[in-house]
Amino acid sequence: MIEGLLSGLMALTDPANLLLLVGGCMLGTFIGMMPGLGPVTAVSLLIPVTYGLGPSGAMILLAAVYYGAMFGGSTASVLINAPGESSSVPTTFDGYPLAKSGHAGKALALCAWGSFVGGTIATILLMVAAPTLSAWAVGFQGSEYFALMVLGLTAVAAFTDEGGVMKALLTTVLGLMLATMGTDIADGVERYTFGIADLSDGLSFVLLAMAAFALSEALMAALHNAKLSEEAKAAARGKIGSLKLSAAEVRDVAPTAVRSSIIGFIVGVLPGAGATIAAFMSYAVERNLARGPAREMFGKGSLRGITAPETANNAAAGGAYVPLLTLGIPGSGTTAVILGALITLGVQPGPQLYTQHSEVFWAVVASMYIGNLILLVINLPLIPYIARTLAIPETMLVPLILFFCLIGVYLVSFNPFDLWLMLALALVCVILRLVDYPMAPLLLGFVLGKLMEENLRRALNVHDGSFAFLWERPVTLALMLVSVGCILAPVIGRLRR
Amino acid sequence: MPYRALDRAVALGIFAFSAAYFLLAWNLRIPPSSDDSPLSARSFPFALGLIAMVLSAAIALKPSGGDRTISFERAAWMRTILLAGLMGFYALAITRLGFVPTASLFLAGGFAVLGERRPLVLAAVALGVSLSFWFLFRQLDVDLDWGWFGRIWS
Repeated sequence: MIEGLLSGLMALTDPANLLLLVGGCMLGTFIGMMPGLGPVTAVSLLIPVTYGLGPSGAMILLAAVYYGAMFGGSTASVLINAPGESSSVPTTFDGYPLAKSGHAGKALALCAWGSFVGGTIATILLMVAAPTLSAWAVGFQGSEYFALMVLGLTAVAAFTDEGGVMKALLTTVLGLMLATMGTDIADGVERYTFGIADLSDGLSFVLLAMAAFALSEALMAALHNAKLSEEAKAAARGKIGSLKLSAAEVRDVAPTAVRSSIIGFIVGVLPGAGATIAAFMSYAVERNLARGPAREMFGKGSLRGITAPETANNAAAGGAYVPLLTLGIPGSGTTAVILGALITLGVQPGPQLYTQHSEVFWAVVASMYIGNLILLVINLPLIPYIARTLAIPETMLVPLILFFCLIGVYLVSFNPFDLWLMLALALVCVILRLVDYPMAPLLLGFVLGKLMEENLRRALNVHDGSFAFLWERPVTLALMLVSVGCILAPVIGRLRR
Repeated sequence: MPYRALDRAVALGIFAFSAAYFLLAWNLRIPPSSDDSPLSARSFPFALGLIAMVLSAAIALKPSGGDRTISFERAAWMRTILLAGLMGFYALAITRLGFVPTASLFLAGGFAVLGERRPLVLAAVALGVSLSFWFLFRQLDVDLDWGWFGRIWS
């Protein structure tokens, strides 16, 4: 383990990788800070860049952008009460009141320290958990993989509000349907290509990621006429106060950081749960644990109230890498994008990754350690300057995002047909977003679709075409039962209410 | 527009898409050697189409949203449609006009659609961004489209 970590750290001594790490952290912070843009958009926008890099470099960049964007989302939550993504929402509860009272610097310092502690503890836990899980999963056959993928897709339902379960499941199925486009590997038959040669290789993953997230997000912003408030503009121009924390304040928030790291990591490992649930859950735990005046402070600028969600959402981001790297199952939209990028680069995440591409695994782990340090040492002092980017006029921001999407997709294929397809899909995604269809399951379904069909075919071939493997193989049966539980959980919850 | 009505309309749209997908799977020609395969090229799409039809029908029968309404200003719709139109222009023009003119016109148009009215800022930022990207890609040995203008120029 130590050898692996050292090899990962050695990879980071390469100036190119270090540049990717620092650049990724800063770019992620910048994108994450923009209201409405979160880690998934940030990672999607950077995918075309990864095609010129090796798998390790690509993973270093994407991981850096991921937690940079998480940190950027927190900055927007504190300074302008506009979280870049849902996992930063609890940060606004106490971060914004603290900023309004003139202590924005302190709130941001807590965000950075919380992210650092959460990220570091999660990385240590990832180092311990991933090899164990990989060793266990190495004997998996097609049936287990199929069941795992079913679990990964149905888990989305368990964490959706009751009205959204059907929509989450439907977008998952739509993602699976889009994955069937192109030439079928087993039979060599073209499916849903309509004789168009450009579709014979199927739908491009980058194209769908851009359409579903970055592009439709930007079009929604234009539709909502999203404008920064006067407070945001003032924050962009003004000062944020001291970034220092007193020893008493550190002692007060330290137990919160440790508790929230563990909660965040565990929730992050669960498929479908992710950073948002981790942030809300740890905030609720800390509020319930607090007594007397400390409890009264929640919602009014509590330091624990900022530390808990910030630590938990970063720990969850680390936790989400466990199923991704060891089982090849993404637990969230962002990890689905990262999985797609890895597959495009010729690396198949799963139990074999740890043995066959250990350099990729350890590069991710090392980049998490160093990336969290960079966020603390470089990004934090630069926050007053990064905050000025909030002053970019809205009139410029949306066309620039659209432009990045257009060149990103065009540079992959140099085919204008892909631009038309992306535009059409983005418009469909805008309509789906208007009636609250979640986009992450669409991408999860798309990324897992081909693998799922392939593993189902493999399992059926091994079992002479019989579906008996679903109940004859214990691990498969257990995973399928959990999947059924995931679908039924919201229904049962509704009936109990 | 009432949220429920749009929710139902979208669900019905997905139902129609799923039904078409299902029928195409049904009519998919597979090689005779795959006739006995437990999972032919049509099996998975067939099942997915069926599941999507059931789910979309369920949403269409019981749309959500209560009394909520969705309303956007006419200007917001126009803005979004114009931005989509500009992206269509980009797709059409990129191989004809070349990267720099297309990107500059797209960006300038986008800024103008979203309310930027200072012609100098509009032109300078659009041209500055597209030229920066052109320069960056040249450094990375990425051969961008020159288009008619570029070919005449060179």
